[in-house]
Amino acid sequence: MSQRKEAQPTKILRRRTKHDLPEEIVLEILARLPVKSLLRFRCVCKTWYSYITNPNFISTHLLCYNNHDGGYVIHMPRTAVHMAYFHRPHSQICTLAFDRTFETISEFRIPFTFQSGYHGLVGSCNGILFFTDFIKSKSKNVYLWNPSIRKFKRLPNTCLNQTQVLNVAHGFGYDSLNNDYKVVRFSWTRTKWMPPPEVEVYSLSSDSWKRVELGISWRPNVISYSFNGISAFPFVSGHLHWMIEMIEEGGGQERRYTPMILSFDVNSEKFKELPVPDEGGLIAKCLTSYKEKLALIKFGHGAQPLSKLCSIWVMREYGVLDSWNKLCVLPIEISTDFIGFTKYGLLLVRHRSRLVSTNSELERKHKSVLIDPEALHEKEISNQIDYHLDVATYMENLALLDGANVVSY
Amino acid sequence: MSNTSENPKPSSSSAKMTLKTSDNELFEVEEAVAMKFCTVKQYFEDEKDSDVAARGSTTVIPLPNVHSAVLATLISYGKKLPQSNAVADNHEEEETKKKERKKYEQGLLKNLMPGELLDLISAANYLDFKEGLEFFNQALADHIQNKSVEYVRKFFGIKNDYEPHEEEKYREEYAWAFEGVDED
Repeated sequence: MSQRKEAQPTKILRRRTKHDLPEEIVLEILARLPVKSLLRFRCVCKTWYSYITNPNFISTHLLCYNNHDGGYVIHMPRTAVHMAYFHRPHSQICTLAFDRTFETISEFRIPFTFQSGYHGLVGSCNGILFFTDFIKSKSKNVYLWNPSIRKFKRLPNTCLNQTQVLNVAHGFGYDSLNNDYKVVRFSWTRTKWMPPPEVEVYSLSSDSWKRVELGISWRPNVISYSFNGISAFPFVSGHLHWMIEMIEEGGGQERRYTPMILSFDVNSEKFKELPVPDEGGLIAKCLTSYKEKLALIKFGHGAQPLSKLCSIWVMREYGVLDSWNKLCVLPIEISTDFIGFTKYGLLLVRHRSRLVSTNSELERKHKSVLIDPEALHEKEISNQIDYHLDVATYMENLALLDGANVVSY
Repeated sequence: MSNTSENPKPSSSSAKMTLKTSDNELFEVEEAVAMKFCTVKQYFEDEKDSDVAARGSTTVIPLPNVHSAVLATLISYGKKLPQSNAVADNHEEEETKKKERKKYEQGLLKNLMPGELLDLISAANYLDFKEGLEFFNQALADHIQNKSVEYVRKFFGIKNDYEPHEEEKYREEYAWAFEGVDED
């Protein structure tokens, strides 16, 4: 095709000659598209269908697409015990918002319900949310939900032969070596926390549960354990973590309170203990993740009455006790609740209501703030979030595209 | 002036290279920019081993797969990239440069016809120009993101090999994904 160079030297006519882009280029372009486009483009041709549904592409796309500056979160009102006790109706609405400001983008409903009527968001991994019934004794149903492609799945029933399960704890993570998602479940059949719980692991690729051994010898003097229910199960460096508090009997009437971190390697399916940094006077309460590192939040008494000290520790090098590093110390009011860290390291807390006198009337004021622990800078969230929140990172992910018992809505 | 024994410092030398396109146009390009095209870099380094470069004469590097208009755009983009040898700027300078680049990029994309993107990507791939490839791949993704299936087929010259009922099934499965799509 001839070129009219004199007229417009920088524009060329689209040549109709062979211009097939090589496969790896097409894949790179597809990896930059949101899931809505990809779901549509499965229809372009059979080759594109096979590109888009390929598990390797799905994991590449997950990393490539979600790797931009601004992130997103999904938040919803957290079920509280008093709500369930008083049979208050509970909102099924989730909000998609910007990570750094919590400014609302859109809203949508939770597409499944629980027998009790109360959902419990246990956690999330790669944008897939993990829900159980808030009242665990009501129903054993657990759901995986991928809001970006509007699909959810109820997991099959337990493989354990249990007559009466009184309590459960879960973890949900991603096995990058096998490109598989796994769920860990601990079950206790007695009110006391001894003997140790039974453990089973679910793998999405096999769509089945199997029993695994805890493999940790509980210490002989321990009279009770409890899984700390405040935090979820931070997934860091291919491991899931739970905070366990142990009460040990010392000599005589002494009782010693010791925290311990239980870690689970999602790939090898083995458990380990991780050390907790020691800090006199402050109690380790909350395990979470901060910028993809394991983080520990400790509380203790502050200098002023009604004030708390909160110190945030981060494990800089995974598994190395010495690498626990105190990130900051926050003086906070005693009525502050921690909600969690966003993907980019902003801490969301909620200052619970105080009675404030305005115009000769007493009002309850709540506020939710985002704190930057490195700059120690606080920013109030503009939209009035007057309730406790569950927060999860939102990611565009094609996982759960196919598979047994996956429901579209 | 011999460059064989020392590492050439692109910032101080104004070494230029000549690239020849498929339509026989010659482009004189600064070495620093040309080196971002890894194919050119490879050619240059291969040539250096022979006596040609040692003599300091300008080699003309042939690029039979790249048209002049396309090369012009790629070179222009390459010039705007932060140079690897540049002195580290302070935060303010860095921010200003970033903003300038963003403005340039937006201007560049505005003047491009969508079809030209395919040529640019093809050429950037041939030249192994990573930054250019990333930029234009993203531009193309942004362009097709909200387009219909029919548009995409036409754009890439792809033949629909589905039976009508098959395609219908896939469309129904994710009907919501077909909503709000740009008119063709």
